[in-house]
Amino acid sequence: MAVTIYTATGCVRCKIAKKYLAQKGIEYTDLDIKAEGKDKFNRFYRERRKSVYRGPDGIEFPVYYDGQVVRQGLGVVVGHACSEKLAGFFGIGRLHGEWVDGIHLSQGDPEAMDELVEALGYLKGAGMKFEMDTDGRNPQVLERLLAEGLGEVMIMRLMGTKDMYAAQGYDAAEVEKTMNLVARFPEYRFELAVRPVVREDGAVEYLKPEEAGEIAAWLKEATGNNKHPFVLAPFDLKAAGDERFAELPQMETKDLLIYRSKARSSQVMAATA
Amino acid sequence: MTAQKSIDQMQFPGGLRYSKEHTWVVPSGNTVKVGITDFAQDQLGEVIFVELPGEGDEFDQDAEFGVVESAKSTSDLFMPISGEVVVVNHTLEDEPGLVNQSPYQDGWMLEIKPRDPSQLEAIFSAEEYLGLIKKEA
Repeated sequence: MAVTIYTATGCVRCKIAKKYLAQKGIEYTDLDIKAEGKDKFNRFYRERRKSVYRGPDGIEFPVYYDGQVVRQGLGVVVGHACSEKLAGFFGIGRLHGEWVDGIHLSQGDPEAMDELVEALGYLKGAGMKFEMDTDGRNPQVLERLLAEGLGEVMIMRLMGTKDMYAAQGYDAAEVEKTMNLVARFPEYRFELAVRPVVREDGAVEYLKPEEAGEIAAWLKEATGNNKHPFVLAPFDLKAAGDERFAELPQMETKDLLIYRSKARSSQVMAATA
Repeated sequence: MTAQKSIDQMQFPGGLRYSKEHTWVVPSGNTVKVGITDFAQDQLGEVIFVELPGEGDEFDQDAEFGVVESAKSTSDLFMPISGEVVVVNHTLEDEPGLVNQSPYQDGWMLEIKPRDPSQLEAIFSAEEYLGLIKKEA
């Protein structure tokens, strides 16, 4: 299938992606959107505008198109070029320069660890650093990355109390193992978005401050440490776009102070975002 | 957004009227033509997409009427005066770059039938608009 890669003039990340495509023997047409590829890119953009991601800084480059799917960003393009099995691991990021983020370690297939290490190893060799995240699943992936020295920043996005994890079918022991591994990365933090919860009786409400305290206590118990970087953030209702939450007000940072207070009983460094 | 030109290098023709949202208007018989200013196109960078309304659509003054996008940014377009769209510059669908190359001529966007022609006098002259963007810059 014919691959086209649209790049921006002087885009270092685009060059890194193209070099990897070449290494993998993937043939592609390289079009610079400011030079010879301007007209073709404009036409491509008009025809597939709704499939093209725009971040706060505009269109994310490189843009890779195989005739069916638009893929964007260095991590996504290199991940795809490495192996289709890496699809869940790489998403669009928000960082630029030497950083690659949007690497979701819980959302990929842990059987594809070798491929993940290959892709990240290539990017590291090209001078990139990684901000990765996990929700607690796939601790074996974190373990492997630590062994390989891959990953500068690790974020664990806490999904709820131990009971809430269990209700979603997560293995508590696996989540606790992840908590301990997260704390071994050069820089890390635990993040708790105060999210809406659908209770057993169908009621929809925000996570309670007491439950935030319970999560912080679980982290302390699992890791034997009460001084982890622990960040509370409002859940973005609009971005979630879930109709079940339509009646809830958008929470603001000031609403999190009571949550912070409860969390500090077990995590003394708890702070609001 | 990154400006490519200094304000002194930009053109603001004297016969046009200008809005605070960086659109221009010029009377053309019973209708007026609307586009975006040299300052606006310069701030956007190379325009790659323009979304405009259809003929017959009506807008109040300051209402959003379209979108203009470059690789780096997206900007909503706001109607400088109220009126009904009578002609749309469909050439911009295939040649959005005309907005950069010729913002006051080939890059015009709409021709509208004004609802209240006195609104033309209430918006800025070239000199007043220049003063406004110098404050913004």
